[in-house]
Amino acid sequence: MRRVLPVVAVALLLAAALLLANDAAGDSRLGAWYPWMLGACVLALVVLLVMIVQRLWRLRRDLSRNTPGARLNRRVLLMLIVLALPPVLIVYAFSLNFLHATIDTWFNVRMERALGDALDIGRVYLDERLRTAQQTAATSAQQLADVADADLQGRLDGLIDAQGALQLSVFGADQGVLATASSDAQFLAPLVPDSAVLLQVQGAGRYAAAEPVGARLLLRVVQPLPGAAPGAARLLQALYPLPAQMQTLTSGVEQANFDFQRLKYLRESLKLTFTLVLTFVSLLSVLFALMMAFGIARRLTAPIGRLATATRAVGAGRYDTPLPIRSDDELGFLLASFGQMQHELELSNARLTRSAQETENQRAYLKAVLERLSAGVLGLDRDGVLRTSNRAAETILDAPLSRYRGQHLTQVRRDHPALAPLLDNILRHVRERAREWREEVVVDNAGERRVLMLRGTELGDSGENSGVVAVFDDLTQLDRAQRDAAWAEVARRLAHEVKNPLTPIQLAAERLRRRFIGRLPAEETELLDRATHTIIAQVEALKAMVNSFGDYSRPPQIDARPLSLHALIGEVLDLYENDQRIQLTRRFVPGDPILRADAGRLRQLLHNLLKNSLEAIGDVRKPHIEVSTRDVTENGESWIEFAVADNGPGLPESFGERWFEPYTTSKSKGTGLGLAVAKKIAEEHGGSIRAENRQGGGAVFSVRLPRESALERA
Amino acid sequence: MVSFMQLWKNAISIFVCLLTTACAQSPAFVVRSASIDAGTLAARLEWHPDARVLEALDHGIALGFDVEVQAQGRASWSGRVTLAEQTRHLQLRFFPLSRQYQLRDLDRDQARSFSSRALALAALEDLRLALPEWKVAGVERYRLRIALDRETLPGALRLPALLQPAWRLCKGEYAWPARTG
Repeated sequence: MRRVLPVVAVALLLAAALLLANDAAGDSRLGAWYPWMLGACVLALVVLLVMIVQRLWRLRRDLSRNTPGARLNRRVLLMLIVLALPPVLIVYAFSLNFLHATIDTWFNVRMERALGDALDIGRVYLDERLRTAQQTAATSAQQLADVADADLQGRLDGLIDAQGALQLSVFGADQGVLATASSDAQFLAPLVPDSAVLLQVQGAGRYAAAEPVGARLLLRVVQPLPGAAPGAARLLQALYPLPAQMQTLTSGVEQANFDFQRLKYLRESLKLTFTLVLTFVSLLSVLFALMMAFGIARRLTAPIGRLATATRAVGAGRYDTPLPIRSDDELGFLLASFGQMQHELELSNARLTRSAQETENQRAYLKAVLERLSAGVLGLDRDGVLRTSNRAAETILDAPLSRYRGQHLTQVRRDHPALAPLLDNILRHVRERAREWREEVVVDNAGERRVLMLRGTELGDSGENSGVVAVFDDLTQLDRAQRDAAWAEVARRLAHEVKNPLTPIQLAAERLRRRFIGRLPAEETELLDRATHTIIAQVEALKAMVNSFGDYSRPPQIDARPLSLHALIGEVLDLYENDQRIQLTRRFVPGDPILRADAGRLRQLLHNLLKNSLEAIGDVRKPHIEVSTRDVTENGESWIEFAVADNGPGLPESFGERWFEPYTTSKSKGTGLGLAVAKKIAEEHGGSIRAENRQGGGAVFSVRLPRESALERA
Repeated sequence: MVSFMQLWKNAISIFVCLLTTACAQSPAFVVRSASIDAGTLAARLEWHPDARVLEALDHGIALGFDVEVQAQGRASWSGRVTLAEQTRHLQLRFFPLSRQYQLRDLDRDQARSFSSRALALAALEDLRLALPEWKVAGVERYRLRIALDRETLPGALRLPALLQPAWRLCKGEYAWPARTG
């Protein structure tokens, strides 16, 4: 519809303009359609105007929306209008001028005067002929004056040929025809004088005029017949023809003059009509040119607009903008090339995305690996700025290293001075630009001594990724395990090497007593008694110590069975209940926690802890030992914890994991194996032991063991 | 330049014509009385033609008139029913050589010549036309409409005739009851 309507409007306007022009030129067949044609012209103009205004509004909207190609469209449109409009206007102006000048040339003064003169000649001739006709008619009237009405016809028949008249008629006083004679079959019926003729007859005595009758010009004379009274007179009417040649000539003169005068009168109307038609056609040309300009501009700029849209899309990272190629010219080639480039870009971008995704996956994988490494990892750049660290590093060093990313390692050292041995080592190697190094570093952090195996490697030679990566393993557990194994070996050898000779020594000492006591003098007997007693006592002590070593070195052979923790603790505490030196308190969690444990080993553990507390209390005035139990849930696992707390002097400042090693004790007495054995038993049961100071004074040793929930009684 | 001036004049003329068309003016034709007696229509008219119309007549442009006579029946919601009608065509023309004005009944090919325009116009105003005998029943009134026939004007004059009130308003109408007419 949008495409058909302008064409219909243009065709309508053109047809209407042509019809108007033809009509103005003299073709009057379309008179009835004149208003419709004019209306059609106006309607077509309105349609074209509306469509142009609509397109202009759309262009303005596109401009305001910054639609791709809109500005180019405007520019091309303006260029086309500048190209098309002036020629049309110039042609219009010249045509108008030419038209008016041409119409004006039709009317020159000389021709008008000539035609006027010819007309005057014709009139003079007619007047002359009319005078002759009047005389002839007067003569006839005289001859008919005395003729009776009944004889009139005969006289008229005689007169008509003699006078060369076309028709002779006599009318009575009542305008009735008394007689008529005709020499031409066309004029058989007499022309009845009307009131105007009669009026002139009454006024001037006769009527004489050249009258057009049909296609001919006749001389008509009406005069009363003499001798009659006024009002009752009979009237003679005579019609005379002009000579055939004069008839043609006068008719030609009249027609020429008639045409000229008519044209003269119509001159302005002609100009107006032709101007209107020309204006219509010019407007049609202008509006059609505008319409075409819109179409051409759109056709020219549409591919460029699509190209701009596609360029924007490519800029935004979209490569799927369709670019239909509708021409095989340079624009088509440009679109095809852009489409190909877009396709290549899309492929390249896809490859890039895949590569980035792979890199990201790799990075995530490396990060996951790094996070799950048991070894601590620190990444630094060439200047010693921390770039990365893993969770293990934070755990081992007990420092929130992730907060220090982007900061120099000296800042970490400043905030965590305990880490100085490690950090200084790393910084030193960074400064020295060492390619690789490996050292063992001991860090005492928060009273905990950690042995770290530090390895460093230089990353790359230059660029963003250059720097150093430091990896350190916590060897503390390994070190401890090695020492435990060594102690176990020592204990085993002691048990083996020392225990064997003890029995012969004891037996030898007892044989000496039996043999010599009472046989020697009293003084010597006393000496021997004391000496052998000491030997036997020390051998016993050595045996006890060796047994302890034996316990410590014994491989874990536990006979684990479900048991009630509270019952077991109760049994052990009952042994200490009657000890007047201490006040014993029990504080158990409600219920009856069940453990799967070796009852004997667990009793030994509890004895060791109670004994340790008793030895630690020493000279405290009101010694107090509290044994408690509590439920613990950690990381989804259930534990039962029992603790032995005292109100002694508390743990020494240097207390740490090392204190659970054999021969580590602050007391003057004891083997130094109590806590080591206790720790070993706890670990044999899948548990752990820890020691800490109490808030009100004293120390507390807590043993955490996995509970056997399924076997517990409510 | 002259052309442009002329164009402006024409444009202004068209605009003025359109403007004046929109304004109401009294019609140039007024039918004072009319009657049909013995098959003859007798009407007394008043015609006050514009000078431009008379000038056109004097320049040889024939003026055509449509005379429409209708016999109408009872009025209804859709108007009156036309029982019979007759349209007659008259022509008023000037012949420069003989200086005669001629009033012509084109349908009957009858003409009357007048030596002056006044007489011709008077003849037009005292209109008498022989009508065919209408044998219809129920005629309640007659209606006479007379108007200048612009379609008979020369092509060049049709556009001004369409726009200028001098030409547009050349029409008159008259109705009278059948009994008294």
